[in-house]
Amino acid sequence: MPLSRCARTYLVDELVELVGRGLVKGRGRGRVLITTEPISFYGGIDPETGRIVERGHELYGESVSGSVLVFPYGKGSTVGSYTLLRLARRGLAPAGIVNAESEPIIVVGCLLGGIPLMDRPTPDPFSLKGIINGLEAEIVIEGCKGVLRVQRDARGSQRAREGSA
Amino acid sequence: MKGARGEGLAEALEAVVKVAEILGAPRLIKVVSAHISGISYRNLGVEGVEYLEELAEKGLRFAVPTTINPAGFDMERYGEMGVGVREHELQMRALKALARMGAQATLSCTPYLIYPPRFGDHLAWAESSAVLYANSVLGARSNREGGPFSVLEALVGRAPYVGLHTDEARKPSVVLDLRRIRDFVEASRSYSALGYLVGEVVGKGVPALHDPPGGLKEPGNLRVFLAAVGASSSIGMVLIEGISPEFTLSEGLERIEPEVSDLTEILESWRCEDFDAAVLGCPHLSPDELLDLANRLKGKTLRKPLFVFTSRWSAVVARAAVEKLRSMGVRVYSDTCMVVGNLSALGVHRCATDSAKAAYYLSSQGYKVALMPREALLEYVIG
Repeated sequence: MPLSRCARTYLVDELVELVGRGLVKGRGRGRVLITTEPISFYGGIDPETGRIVERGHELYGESVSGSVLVFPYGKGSTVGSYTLLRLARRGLAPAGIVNAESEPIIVVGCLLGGIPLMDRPTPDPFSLKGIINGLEAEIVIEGCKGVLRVQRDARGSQRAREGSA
Repeated sequence: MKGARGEGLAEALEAVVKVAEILGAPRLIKVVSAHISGISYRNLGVEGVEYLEELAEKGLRFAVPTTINPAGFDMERYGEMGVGVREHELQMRALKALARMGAQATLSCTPYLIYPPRFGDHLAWAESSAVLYANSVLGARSNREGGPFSVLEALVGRAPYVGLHTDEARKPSVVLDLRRIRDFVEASRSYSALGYLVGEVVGKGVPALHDPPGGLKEPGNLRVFLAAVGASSSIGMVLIEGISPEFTLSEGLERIEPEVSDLTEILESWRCEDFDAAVLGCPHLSPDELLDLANRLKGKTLRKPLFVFTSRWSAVVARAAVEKLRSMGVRVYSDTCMVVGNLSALGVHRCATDSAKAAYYLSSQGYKVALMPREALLEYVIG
């Protein structure tokens, strides 16, 4: 890939763009909530509040509602698909999901709940965790292509400066 | 096909194709039956029940004979199980929707006893212990499908043609040589713990059991063994010499030789000195096992409460045995089980079981569990 295209992909100052495989179509907007740990939607997330309740999980106590949730893959019972459906019908679902590699629990759950889903994103979001976590993002899935655009706004830059200070 | 029904079916098909794609399946394959799990009201919630009702309302019907896993309570004895009016209504709505779509209300994890598949049949089954039985014992072909996904597969009558549907995936991936533990397993009758061990050490693929302990040929032992494999791994098939119709050994396979200490470690991890009840029936007891149990307990007095879970079909087939057991004070329940039901509502908090699968799931729900062979458990119960 020529350097100029690479550069356009993710070196733009105010925008990080991740491109991947589109699995469930739709679009959504929310803050990036990212973890390198797999998520069990059955038993790991409370279907009535959208909070992560798996003890010891990196995101324990956080709400996935309205976020663009980025995690490697799903784990645990297959009944987890119903949790995504339940969250969606209560208006508590993530605005979109990005996986390293999706497996059937998440795919079926997103299809049932109408939650935009993509996987195999490049560049690797987990290597950008500290940069993109908490930032506003838009996820757009059309056909077999998924795009996640993360806005590096003033607040994000400021936080980055604070972090380095 | 037009209208809501056509749209609903197209959506279901799209979902099955999507999952086939991510699994790398080149196409779908027609299945002869489906088995749906995860239908307890606790799993579904109000939203999940509404979803099933909408499918039924659209006029969608299962394309193949479809059975369902245990629900949250016994349809006749729910009063004893602390089930509230709201929970009862929710569960019945889910079952009604499934029945409207054509499901047989088997409410059991042992559909293969009621409608046994034939050798070579392709299935879309979602209960791991039943999938292991179908593949390993009957030579039928199913992957371990997800509960919600199996609803969609049943509607389209097709499954992704991948994994255990294909000849290549049904060959052994590793050989388990049990020579160092066979005598111990036979003497202690630890078939369920053996299954848990097989799952733990192999993890995935298709293990071949060379020269297995003879007691595995007893159907009850075989069922708790296979259920335990399913609980501790993602394995969907075990090739057991003398039992599995497709058993073969090929050259150059990795060999694993477990030690007695591997097995005692599992038994030690589920030890609970004082328990308040014994529970049997994970998987659901067969008519033969109910009869055997009634015979073994004949003329004895129970020292501890004994709970037995079975399918309604088994309870009807072995009606006399069930009546005898109940007259002795044994609490026999159908349509549900110790894992999807609610043992604590029955007053059980620390229990002994002969099933490592039950031990695994009950401990994860916070129960104190002792794992012991059925013989030892019954000794303890009748004192």
